[in-house]
Amino acid sequence: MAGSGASGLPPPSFERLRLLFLTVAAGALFGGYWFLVLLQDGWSERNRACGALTGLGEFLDCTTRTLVLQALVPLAGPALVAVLVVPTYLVAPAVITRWHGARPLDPWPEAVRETVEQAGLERTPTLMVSTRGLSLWMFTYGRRPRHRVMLSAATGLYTLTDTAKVTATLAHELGHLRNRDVDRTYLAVLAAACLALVTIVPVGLSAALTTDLAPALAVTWRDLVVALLLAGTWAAVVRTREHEADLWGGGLRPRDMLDLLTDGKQERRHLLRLHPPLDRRLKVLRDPDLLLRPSAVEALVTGIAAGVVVTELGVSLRAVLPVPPLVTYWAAGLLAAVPVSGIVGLAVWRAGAARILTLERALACGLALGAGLVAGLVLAPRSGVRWSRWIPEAPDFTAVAEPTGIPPITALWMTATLLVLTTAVTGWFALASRTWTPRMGTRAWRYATPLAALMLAVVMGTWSLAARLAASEQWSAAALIHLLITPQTALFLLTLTLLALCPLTPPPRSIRRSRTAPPPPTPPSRTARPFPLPRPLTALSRLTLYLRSRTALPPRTPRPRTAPLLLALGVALVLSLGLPFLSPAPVLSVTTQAALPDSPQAGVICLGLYTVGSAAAGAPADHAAKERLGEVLRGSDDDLLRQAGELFLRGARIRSQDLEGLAWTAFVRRCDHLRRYRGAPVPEPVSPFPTEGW
Amino acid sequence: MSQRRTAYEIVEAVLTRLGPKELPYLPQLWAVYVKDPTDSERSRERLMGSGILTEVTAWAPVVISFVGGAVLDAAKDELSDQTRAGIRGLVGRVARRGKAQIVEEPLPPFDDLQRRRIGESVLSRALAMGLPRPRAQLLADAVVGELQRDPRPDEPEG
Repeated sequence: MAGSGASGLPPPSFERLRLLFLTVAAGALFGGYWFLVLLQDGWSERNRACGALTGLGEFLDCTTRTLVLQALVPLAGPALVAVLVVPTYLVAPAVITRWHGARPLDPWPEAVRETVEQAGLERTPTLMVSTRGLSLWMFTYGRRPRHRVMLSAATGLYTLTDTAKVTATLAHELGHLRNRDVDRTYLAVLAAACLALVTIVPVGLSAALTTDLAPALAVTWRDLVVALLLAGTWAAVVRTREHEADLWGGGLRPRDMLDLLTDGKQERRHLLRLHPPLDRRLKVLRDPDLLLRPSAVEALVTGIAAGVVVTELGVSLRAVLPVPPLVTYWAAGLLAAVPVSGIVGLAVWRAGAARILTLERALACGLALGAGLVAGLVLAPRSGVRWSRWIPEAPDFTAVAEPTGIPPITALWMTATLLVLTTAVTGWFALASRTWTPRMGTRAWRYATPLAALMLAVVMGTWSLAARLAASEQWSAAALIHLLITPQTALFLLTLTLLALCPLTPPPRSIRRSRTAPPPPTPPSRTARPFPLPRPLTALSRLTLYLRSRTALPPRTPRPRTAPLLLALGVALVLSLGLPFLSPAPVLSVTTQAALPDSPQAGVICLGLYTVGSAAAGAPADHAAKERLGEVLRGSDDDLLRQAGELFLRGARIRSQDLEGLAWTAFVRRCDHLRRYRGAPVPEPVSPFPTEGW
Repeated sequence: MSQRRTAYEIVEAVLTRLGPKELPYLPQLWAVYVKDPTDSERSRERLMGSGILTEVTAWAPVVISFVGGAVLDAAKDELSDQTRAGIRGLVGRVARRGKAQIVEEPLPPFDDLQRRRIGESVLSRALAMGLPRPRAQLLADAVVGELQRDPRPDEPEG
């Protein structure tokens, strides 16, 4: 493959495979949630039983168990996909062999033997001859370690008359084997097919048949988007593999492969085209760098899938993990960030290491990733909609993050901030690849991944939690900053930023000068020291010059398409910095306690909760506010609310935010129970929609 | 008295004119064609295949699929009063399946008009499938020439 810095890194198709599995996971999770939570009546009984308990501790334990179950059962979706994929994958080779009535090729024609031997594969594949096919075709299949190449029935004749074409086609197939495509591709195909079979189609059908028009529409268009993402990602995986097989085959039989692509015609397509157009394949064969360029579309799709995953997982983990919400969301962010850094990050890194990355591409990828994450929040099928409007069982009070509930200015600020942050992270990948690869070679990627994943996890997790708070309780930008950026988190973020910036020292000039030569042994000079602290800011300031210095481009000549991207980034930066100061005073301040209802009736108290949201409890450390709320609840006519009031008072007395948090959880859950199962006169909640705190 | 020839014999004779070195492969490839005459028409790109329809110099597959198809179509026309012009879809599929059933039967004699039509059909199909015009013309000429040739004489009994 092209640039020396990029060799040794996982191939581009591998990152698309990760993206496919990420999409499958997101889709299957929603399928599980739809069928096992939203459409199951059994949760009502369970919740009613919880509501009938008289002790607050029992009530909380019971409702927590229910929530944990509701968080865990959607995992049955991915599990079912896996259960279907594995046996299908195991029997697929036997089915293919049987369908073709194939038998092993024996003896091998001389040209075939030469080509296979020349390939130097770790394991020699079995060549099978089909009982079908008068034209020249081959395909690879099988299962590691017994991979096979199926040849059409007429291949024996073609080795006599069209030897070069047979060996070129065989070289392409051996390229698939050399790139370890077979198992991955079949797993990808089967995973996509199984997701379509057990989630996309059934969810669409059941939404149309079992629910009203509004929820059916809400779920159907999300289902369609998942289907489109799946189809696009799947096509990207298989097509990229074809390019890589061409490149490898081209290395083995350069002239023959070029002739094959030049003289041949594209085979007829299925519903989705499995192979790229021939002219594109020829272009890539002549200029492999084309394959190394990171794609903004890929970054966008990755962002969407990751946005869905982090939003959904954040909700699930919130119910399961006994840690503060911010940490929970960071954990969810980490689970999504690892594949994201392996997709977008690796693409940018590879291009940077091969020194073919342009500023335009780096900016586009960063902005696209951010835009994808925003779209992922909107698309998140579980928490992007308040399902309880239509489906009583939906446990929205822990989960809902309906984006339409976010105040416009806050939404603008959040979007701008996310775009800036994702662009900064992709910029970091670009800089790190340019500075680390000359020193450490391809193994630098292994060191960069954990740090990058941690950065992305913090960005995505924090942003996702902020989106939920802004959506459900209409928190303003200033309120979110105030709440999320505590001294502890600020210290952590500062440390992480310094850790990320320190290694970005420009490499010595002697290393930077050479584009393709392998990195020479680095002399111990001042400029080559690994982590000099004064360098980070210098390195950051050189971002544009660094990325603009692609050899093929005239130096320091801005490309026309770069200007709009730079402008977009600049606007996002200005908005993210300026909006918190420009936004009006928050409608619902988290620092000032809202007026509390003056009535002992549980229905009225809960109405107050649904009117002012978490402002009913005041600021997190405002114990006096909790005491006032506790007094109100203690006078309630509902036994469990009274106990929650006692818990507030006890927490306020001993200054325990944990106890106060527990009391708040009990308060919110009890009001939700009264509304749903006890017939109390509590109206349907509108925004602000109180959640179980942050 | 002469014996009528089967489609295979005509294909074999055409291949003898165009590519005699390929004759050893003919029985196997003919069996593939007889098993599913529409296989090449339905063929689409395969997962983990090359995705390329290669232009080959071998004659045998070309002769089998074009000549075999055209001759058998003409024979079916002769054997059946039904015309299949314009028939598509399921009916077309049934008709093509019928083609496989008559491959072993001796073909009826063709008159000049039928021979010319078969030649034109081979030429147009070959061109439509991307065969270069010189090769397509060569093929069509060989087919017409072979069909004009006298059928083989009766073999002596015993």
